[in-house]
Amino acid sequence: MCEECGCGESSSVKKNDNKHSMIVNRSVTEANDLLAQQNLDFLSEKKILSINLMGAPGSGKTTFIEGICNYLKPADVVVIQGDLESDIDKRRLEAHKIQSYQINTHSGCHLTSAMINKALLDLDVSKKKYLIIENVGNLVCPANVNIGQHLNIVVSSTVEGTDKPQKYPYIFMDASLIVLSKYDLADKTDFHEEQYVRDLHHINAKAALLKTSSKDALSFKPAADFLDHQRDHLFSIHHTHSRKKM
Amino acid sequence: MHELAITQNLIAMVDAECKKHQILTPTRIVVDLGFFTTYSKDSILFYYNILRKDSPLLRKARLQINTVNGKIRCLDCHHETIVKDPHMILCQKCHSLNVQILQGREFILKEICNGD
Repeated sequence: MCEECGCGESSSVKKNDNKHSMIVNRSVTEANDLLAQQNLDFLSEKKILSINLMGAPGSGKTTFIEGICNYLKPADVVVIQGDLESDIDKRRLEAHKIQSYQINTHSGCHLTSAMINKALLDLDVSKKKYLIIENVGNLVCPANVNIGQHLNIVVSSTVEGTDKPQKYPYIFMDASLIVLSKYDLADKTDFHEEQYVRDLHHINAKAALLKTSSKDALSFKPAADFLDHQRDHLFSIHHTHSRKKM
Repeated sequence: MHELAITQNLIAMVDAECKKHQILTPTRIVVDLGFFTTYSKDSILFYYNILRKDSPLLRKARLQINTVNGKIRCLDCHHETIVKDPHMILCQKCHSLNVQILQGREFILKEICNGD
């Protein structure tokens, strides 16, 4: 019974100047967040590092996966691809013997934890070490939505311009790693690295920043090392010998 | 663009809470929307006012969106700062960038009012 007016409602209902208001205090995103946590728990138990890879369309997200898989074993990696339509990226990765699962969102602007949950039910990830979830190319919507990731990576290319951190701060805010891609084109555009780094630093001073170029395979090695280190650190894995491909 | 789905979530949640507490004609729905979210207040209101036309329950229910400030704590001097500019997430006191976000990511259904 309502403690204030005795109207028979639960204690969360309070009387307020002859009107009733019910205090709810529930997150509107709770259903998604709960499932995201389940995804994360499932992956953590299997010691699979889950990465939410975000960036604008054409920024180089798939190229980034191809690049790091020269240094991580492709057999250790599984990729969930999010695109509105097509399986172009899935086929592209499969050509490199990287297991890939395509999600077509049709009109959806980001992946959700339910989509990832379904993919995890369909996939056999038991022998994997890294799950890379390539989100729909978009610098706005994916920033808000938990999908069950241990860390966020944002791929941002030099050709998109210096102003991306200023224009889309939220996507950069929670990133552990920012990949400045197409770095070989920086001097062919009016990209101002100093300004970009300064703006980024004011939004997220903790993120690592690595520069990559598809013309330089070695430029992806630090990112592969970063993921390797993150996985080891997260799951307290200690090695007696190097496992990396050279 | 993503506000349509989140507004549908909100309406489903309001619907469930009203059923649970036998509220037949809510008049005001109050939500808190954090400064750091990428949800647009105007878009949520736009979609809400379209979607509620299909909901007999919400016909008289106005949506009130309160913006929750973005708040950070400095991990060096422990000062708390209200962030006014999402491009300058730094301590107002010592200007350190070593900060932790305390508040501003939420989207909460706070209250359902019945009768005002």
